[in-house]
Parts: sequence; C-alpha cells; structure tokens
Amino acid sequence: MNGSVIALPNEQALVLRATDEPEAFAIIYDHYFPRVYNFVRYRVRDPVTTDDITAQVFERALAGLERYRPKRGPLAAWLFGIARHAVNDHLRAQKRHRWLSLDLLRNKASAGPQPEQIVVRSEMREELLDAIARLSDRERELIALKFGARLTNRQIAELTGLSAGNVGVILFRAVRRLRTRLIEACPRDYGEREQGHE
Amino acid sequence: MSEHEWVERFTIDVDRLVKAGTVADSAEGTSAEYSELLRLAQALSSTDFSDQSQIQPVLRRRLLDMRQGWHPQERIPMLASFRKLRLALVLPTVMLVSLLIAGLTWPGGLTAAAQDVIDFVQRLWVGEHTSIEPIDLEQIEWNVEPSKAACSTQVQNCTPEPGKCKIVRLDDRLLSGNGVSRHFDSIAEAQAAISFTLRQPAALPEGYTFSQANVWGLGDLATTDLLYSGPDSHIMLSQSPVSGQRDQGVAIGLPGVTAIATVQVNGHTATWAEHTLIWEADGISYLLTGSNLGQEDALHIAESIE
Repeated sequence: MNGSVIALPNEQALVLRATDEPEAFAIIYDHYFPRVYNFVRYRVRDPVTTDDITAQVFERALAGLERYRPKRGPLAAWLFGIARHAVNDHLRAQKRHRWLSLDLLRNKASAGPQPEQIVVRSEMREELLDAIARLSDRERELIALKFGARLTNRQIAELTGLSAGNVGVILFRAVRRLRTRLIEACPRDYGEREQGHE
Repeated sequence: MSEHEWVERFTIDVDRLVKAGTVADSAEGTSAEYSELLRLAQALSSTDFSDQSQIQPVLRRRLLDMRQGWHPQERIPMLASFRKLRLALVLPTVMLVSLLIAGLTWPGGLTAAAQDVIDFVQRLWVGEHTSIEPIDLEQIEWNVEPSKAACSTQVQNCTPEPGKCKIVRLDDRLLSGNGVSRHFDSIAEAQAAISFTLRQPAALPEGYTFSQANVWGLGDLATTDLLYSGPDSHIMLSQSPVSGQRDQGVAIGLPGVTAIATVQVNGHTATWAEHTLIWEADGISYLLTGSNLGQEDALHIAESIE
C-alpha cells in the first residue's frame, strides 16, 4: 500500500464538490477505500464481514457528507469515526447470534483433539491477523486505527478519548506483544534475532 | 533508555514510516529488538488486504448511482424546514406504519414481540454481566443468519431430546470472529492464545484429567473452554472475561429448565441448573458443566479454581 499520500490534495474543496459531483466523491472513495477496508479487516478478520461493514461506512459517509465540517477536523478523522462506530455496532450485534450446544462440545471432547488447524499460517498476513486477534480489544482497535486507517496518534486520541501519550504507549506495547506472539507462532522466522533493547 | 523514551522514538519513527512507507535508517544505533519492532510496524502499515474485497467496484458504482440521483441544490425551501422537524415527524409515522404492517401481515407478531420483551425482563442475572434466559430452541434458527453456516449446523445438531433439558449457550463470545475456533493440547498453548489469565481447578473428581482446550473468538471476546476427560464422561470449565456494558456480557439460554437453584461459590452468587454451575467472579464469567456432574462435585471444583 502506498504510504506517501495520507490526505488528498485539496481535500476540503473536493468534499464540498462531492456533495453534488459524483466524480469528486469517486476520488474520495478510491483514495479511502483501502484504508477503511484495512481498518475494518484488522478488527473483524472475516473478508465477507469486512466488505459488509466497509459498504456501510461509505453509505453512511455519502448520506452524511453534507454534515461534515472541515473546521472540526480532517476528513479521515470523520470517516474513521463512522468506521469505528460501524465496527463497534457490528461487534455488539453479532453477539446475539452466537450459539453452541454444550453436548456438541462434549462430543468433540470424546472424539479427542481435532486434527484440523483452522487458522492457516502459510501467509505473512494471516500470521499477522492471527497474532492481532490475540491482542485485547483496545490494542486491536489502536493497531487498526494506526496501521489500517493510518491516523496520527493525536487523531486516534480524539476518536477514542485517550490521550495522545497513552495511545503511543499502548501502541508500542501492542507491537511488542505482537512480536512476541509471532515469535511463539513462528520461532524460525521471528525468533533468531531476538535480543533485549534495555 | 526508559520505556517512555522508547515510546517517543517509536511514535516518531512509526509516523515517519506510515507517511513515507519505509523505515529507512530510523533504527540505526538502536537494539535488534527495536529494529524488529519497526519492521513489524512497517509490515502492519504496508500490508493491504483490500485486494480481498469482493465489492470495491460494485460498491463504487452503487454509491455513484446514489449520488447522481440526488441533487441537494434543487431542493425546495419547504424541505429545509421539514429537515429540522423530520425526526419528530418521521419517527412516530414509521412506528405507526410498522405496527400496522406487522399487525396485518403477521397477526401473532405483536404478541410475540411483547413476549420477547417479557423474556428479556425475565432474564436471571448472575453477577454483573452474566445472564440466564429462557430459550425456545425452535427460534434459534430464526435468529441465526443464513450466511453463518457454521452456526446453523451447530444449531441443527442441538434439537432437544424428549423429556430432557439441554443447555444451549447463547454466548456472545462463542464462534465470534467468523466462527474461528482454535484447539490446543495444553493449557499453556491456550494461555498464549488469549489475553486474559486462565484459571484452573485444583480439585477434580477422581479419574478426570485435562484433555483439550478450545478458544472461541478473538482478544477480549475470547471464551476458553477447558475440557477434562473422566472414566465415563467429561467436564468442561468455560471462562469468558467480562467487563463494560451489561449487554456485552455472556447470556446463557436454558431451554425448558424448570429447576434453578441459587448457591454460593467462594462468596459469589451462582446458579445451579441441569448439571451446570454458572457464576461470575473477578471479571470472569464461569460455566462449569458435565453430563454426570453433580452439584456437590461442581461446587467443590468451582471453589478450588485458582
């Protein structure tokens, strides 16, 4: 992913035009789609659900574009505020759909350990997602906002209500924890260079 | 360097690599671990999953179609005043129309909806975040989205046997994260996969030993089931970290259960029903169950958890 362009050139003018010019909205969409998608993907893992939530984010953004006020902050912060709510809504809503028969578990136990390993570790990004999945909700959200949405710590702080300093500390510790998880999962790939930095 | 200084440096370096796409020589003069952290941050920042999207062009077209059909500058002035009052006007209208449609198309619908509210109110709370509620197994398939094939399969497998109560977990956490479950042969491996500290029973009935750990869901939403195999049955201890809002806790459905007893586990109120003990302590929602598990054994196991 190209990291050289964080905000669009003349973004504010583009947003004003986008309220009635489809072409202007298309430019915003093309620019932000990967970032929104990656943000959601870091939080929910499932590509199909990621697509659903990403679509919701852009639909809400399109419907609410007239209410966006550039004076209150950059478009990215506004857009990822919508994305954050959409993901949180999804995480809350899905909890009502989870069912499991305990008898099924008992049967599983009697059948012994399951041979199949559901998490596929063959690709680097799957390993990353797997390791991220083991972080706490807060750490996952900050990782998603930082590296998926590519926001600054200050923007993340405004969205989450944390201080920018706290965001930095949580992110640093989360990446360290992530590294530890990856070493545990793939010692040959990640463990050889392990040294302390104190 | 103190952690504070590392954090400051890391913040600057990460912002640089997010903007420039590379760490360049940022890690020069630092430790090998710091270089690794930056490389990992670069991988996080540069990994693009959006090529997995199945909807990017379709969504683009749909949004542009929506945008083309909407010309805000052509609105007549009356619409501006309508916009101010639309919530007050639209909400009651939508509610009335919905009730009318529901009443006409689904005569029993309103009664059923009212029953849902009653069921919600009738939930039995065990601690701050764990609740037990009556479940009609027939309705489970209604509630499961057709696309959630894994869930549907599991639900179909839990048809109640005549004259027998089964416990179905309407667990917020189970199968979350797209039904991802992970199975481990040791508690240490399971512990490494989750973000909370697993507790284990110090006392188990004779002949029972640990056999498998299953982790369902992700991060703070992970539920871990420890399975212990015995001579003729199994015991399962399930642990779900709970915090925050009540509706984000663990809900356990008890279909057709008539006898529920309130007991104490180390001073915490617990519920005993159908070979299952449910309680909440120190931010963890516990469920201990076994097809042959008796109340006395369950309490003994529960009180030994450390």
